[in-house]
Amino acid sequence: MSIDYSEKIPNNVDLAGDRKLQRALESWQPNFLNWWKTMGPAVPTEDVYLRTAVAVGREGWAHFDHVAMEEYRWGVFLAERNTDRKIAFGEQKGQPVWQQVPGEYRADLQRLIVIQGDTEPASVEQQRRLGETAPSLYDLRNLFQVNVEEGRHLWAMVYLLHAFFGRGGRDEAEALLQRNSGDLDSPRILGAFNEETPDWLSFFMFTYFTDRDGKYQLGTLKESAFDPLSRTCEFMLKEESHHMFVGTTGVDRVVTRAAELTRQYDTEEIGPHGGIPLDVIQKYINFHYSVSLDLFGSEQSTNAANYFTAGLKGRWQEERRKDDHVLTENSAKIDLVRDGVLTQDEVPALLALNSDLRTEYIADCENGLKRWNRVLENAGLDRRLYLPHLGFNRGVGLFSEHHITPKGDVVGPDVWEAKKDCWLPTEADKTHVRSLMKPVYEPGKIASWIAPPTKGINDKPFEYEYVHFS
Amino acid sequence: MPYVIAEPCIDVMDRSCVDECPVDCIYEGSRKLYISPVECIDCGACEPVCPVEAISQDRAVDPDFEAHVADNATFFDTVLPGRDEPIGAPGGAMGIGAVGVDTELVAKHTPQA
Repeated sequence: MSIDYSEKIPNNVDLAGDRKLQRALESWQPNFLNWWKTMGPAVPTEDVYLRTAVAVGREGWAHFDHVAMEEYRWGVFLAERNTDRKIAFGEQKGQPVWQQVPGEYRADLQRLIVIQGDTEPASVEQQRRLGETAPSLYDLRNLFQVNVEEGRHLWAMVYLLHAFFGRGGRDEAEALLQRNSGDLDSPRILGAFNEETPDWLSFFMFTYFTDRDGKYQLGTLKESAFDPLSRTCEFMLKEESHHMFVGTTGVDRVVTRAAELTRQYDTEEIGPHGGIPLDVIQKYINFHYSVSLDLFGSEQSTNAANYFTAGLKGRWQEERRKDDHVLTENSAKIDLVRDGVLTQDEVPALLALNSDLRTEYIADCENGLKRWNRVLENAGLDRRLYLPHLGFNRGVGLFSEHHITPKGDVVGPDVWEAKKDCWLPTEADKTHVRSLMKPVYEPGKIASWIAPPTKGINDKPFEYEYVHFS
Repeated sequence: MPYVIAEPCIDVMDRSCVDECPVDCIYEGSRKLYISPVECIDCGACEPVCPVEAISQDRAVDPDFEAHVADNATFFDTVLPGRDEPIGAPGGAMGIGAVGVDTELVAKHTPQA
């Protein structure tokens, strides 16, 4: 079904054919818009060169134009339905997927949707003030694109809650607008979404490491036997690609500029020359990577096993895997610390599904490091960036009770305290990065600490006036 | 190396993946498409739209098509027939258009009906 833009809420789910649901979502819409005005981007703009979804099929789905942000057409878009789709895993493997929520899985599915939904407005809140210090109009536009699409992803989850979970779902949809990132009384559900995003290096790290976690979480929900959830996540993944583009190329450009300044002044102490030292970039990688690893949950999880067995949440690339997709007879290895030594345990594969997903994620992140090290190598520098050990700085899971260095040494609390400022951003590091965050709003200009992009958006040049201010 | 395109793309070249790629890193040979391992950002947008499941992460390539992992890089790193230098990483496929030639591995592949 094509997207109906004549409706108050653009959609491809025939909202007009379900008056009760339409009214419920139309009554939620003003609350969303009020949340956007109070918690969304703080910089006032007239319009922004944004991508809007206009279709979901193979014929192309995006349209670019200058749009007043508060008039962005947030809507409900599901990927096209495959009427032959079967459950790919778990104890109901091979049976038709569900178009309604089975009563026995109602609470678990609602919980999964609420957790995913909670992350979407959280990141908008975290990034609310970043526009005030954008390094270029190009970057400001990219920030706003990420923000409006995270807002749309909230719509996607709210649609599911309203359409399939009755009063409980409607209450949860309201609560998604009541919790706020970093709020002491009513914080967002997951830790990484209560962390600050106070500067653009943090933003690029967040869109690389944390949005990449989103790629994997959405990828597992795309496998769900609950077909509306699967189709919702499939389309969200299209939009999520842009967020990873922003993160990957954003860090590329920070590293490129750091390498240029390091070469130019023949020192890694490039702070006084308006750059972000590679040592500080490494600390930001250490922080954002470790916080994002926590999002995968504990290495052993009966919840994850139950979700899989029930068909609620699959594995990454479930249908391409060459096993029985039931896993009751399989085992897997998980990393842990025993008697002060890093080791591995063999456990039932069903219990290790969080670890399985995290392993896939880590492989992606390793590619990012190769990419950034290629920049350093091409600049003729010997310095290399790296991913810290997966046990480093963990707050969730088997490593959370241990202190592990980025190189993977298990150390005591005294060593950790003495050395942590070498591994994680210090107040002085953050202050320096913040001191560089000065807005550059002139078309074609860029801040000193970051290299310009190699190309613009949608074939527009970097100099294009992507944002008009009010 | 991030995502790669393998043998099922040969003589199909559906090109849906080209439209999805946010960094324009999918280049067109004569009989097959190739992903630049340097320019790919690992977003995964291309993978689900391929009608013949030719695209996967390098670590998940079907063992029968393993040679295509290195071959995707070969397309960019070596001097292809009729060219003076390697394609390298030009920063986007649109700028150079269809390359129109393939790697030796693909060129030698028996044509699909």
